[in-house]
Amino acid sequence: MTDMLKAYYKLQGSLGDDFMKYSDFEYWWRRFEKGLFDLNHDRRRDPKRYRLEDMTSKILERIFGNLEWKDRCAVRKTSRNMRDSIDASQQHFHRIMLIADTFETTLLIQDNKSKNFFRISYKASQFGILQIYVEERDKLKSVPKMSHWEAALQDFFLILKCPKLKIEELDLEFNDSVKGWKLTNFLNATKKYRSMQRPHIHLKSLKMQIKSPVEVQAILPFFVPGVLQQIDIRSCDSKFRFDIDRICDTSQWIQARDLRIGNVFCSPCFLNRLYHLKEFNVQVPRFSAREVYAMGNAIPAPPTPIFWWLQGPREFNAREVRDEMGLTGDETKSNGITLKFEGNYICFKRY
Amino acid sequence: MSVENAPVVDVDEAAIPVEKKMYYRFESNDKKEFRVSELAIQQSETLNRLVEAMGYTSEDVENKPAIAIENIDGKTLKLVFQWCEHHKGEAIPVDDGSVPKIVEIPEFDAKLMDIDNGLLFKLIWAADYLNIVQLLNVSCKKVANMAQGKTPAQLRRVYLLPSDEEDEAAKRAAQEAQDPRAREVEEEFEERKRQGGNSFF
Repeated sequence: MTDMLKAYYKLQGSLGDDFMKYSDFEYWWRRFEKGLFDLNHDRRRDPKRYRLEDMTSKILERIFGNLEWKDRCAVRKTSRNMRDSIDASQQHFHRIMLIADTFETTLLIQDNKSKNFFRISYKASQFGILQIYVEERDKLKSVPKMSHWEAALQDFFLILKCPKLKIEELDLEFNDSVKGWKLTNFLNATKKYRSMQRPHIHLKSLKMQIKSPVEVQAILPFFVPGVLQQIDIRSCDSKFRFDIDRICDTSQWIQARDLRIGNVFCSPCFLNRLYHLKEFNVQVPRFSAREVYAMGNAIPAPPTPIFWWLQGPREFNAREVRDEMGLTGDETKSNGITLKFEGNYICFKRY
Repeated sequence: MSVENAPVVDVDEAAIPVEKKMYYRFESNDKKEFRVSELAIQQSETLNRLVEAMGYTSEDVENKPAIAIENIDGKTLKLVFQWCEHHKGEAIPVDDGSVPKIVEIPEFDAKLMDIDNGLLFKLIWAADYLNIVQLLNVSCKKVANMAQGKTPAQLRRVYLLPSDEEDEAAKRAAQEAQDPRAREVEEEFEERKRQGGNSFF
């Protein structure tokens, strides 16, 4: 902090916040510093001053690019012009996490430059009042008639709205027991923001723990196909039927290189839609030697690592399938691939 | 042969070809003149191209009028050329429009930029106009540093930013003379913008 700023805060402390505008203080400080002590000086005769607002958008983008996200938020709140400039400038985040739990949703934002985390907590409290905390310290505000996850989603989508947005990793985790969760509300929120723009977010890795595949379908169109390299989808409820048809048809899914799904239920007839994935972990009502042969034939050429996990119902015995195939032992190795039969599951892996 | 016994040879210094340092003359919009070395000028892509295109010899520099820089005043130009002279010969970063990941402000630059905000913004503007990438980087970083950890109210004071209310009042005053229909459209647009709900941002 400069001497000038220290002096200003000191005077503000003793004379009150409104004792003098900082700009006026700075002006007279600079004059006194130069030995110009004429208090009757007429400022109107001075040449025009340059202000931050007079800068071009290119310069403003350069200035804001040096700021951490929380400082950018503070600048954004100063005036309309700054808000427009910040929103139009490039935003680069290392990681954004949205974790919706039973009574609380957390939005974690990691700056790409400093790698510092910034946390906003949306907590449901008694009498249905939502409380928003920043960094677990300062209570920002209380909002009635709004669920914690909806308020968090609103802020999350405001970030996604930025036209020049880069995110390295995006983690969305919707817990099974989120209070007041309504899929329609989630879809309405995504629709509202998605309708504004075409895929515009440069995201590299998407991880989602979801309650329904519809959530994935709603969120994928935000991201530029081809840039999104990793998609990892986990279900928070292993019992639901995961219809991957629509997701598989999106250009984001087709162009991603590293695809993983896990803890989902899948019909055997859809299994062939998973063979280009590096990793999957699905439950099926039954499987036989035919499915295992089909999987073996679909394994991509080395050195692509794979981890394919197929699980039957609890009472299912995978060793019966092994016997049906005429194999012996719980583990079979061939061409760097390990096929394992154990309990009610089989597993293909290559590292 | 020892060093002491080595023959002393008179060297005609004039015979050794010495590359002459070339200085260019520039004039600010308030008619202040500056002499800047050729090497220092290389920091500015705009000025470098300009002097290359002019193809001045040392005599031309002395005999012809100083090169006028219409958009920059003497006070700002002095800072710009001080910076260029201090950093002459240094590698020039490639400007791809993005903000470099790490910008360190050297001690010299920090002292040079210990100026009021108005002059600092003029310096940024001049660095952008003259395409001096590194000066633009450090000066933008300096302005960004001023924002760190401040509240919106503090930022308004530091950067002389009008609040939304002040901004609206100024806009309204300007609209008084405008077509009333245009004002209605503007108001409707603002109303829509306000419908952001209970957001953190």
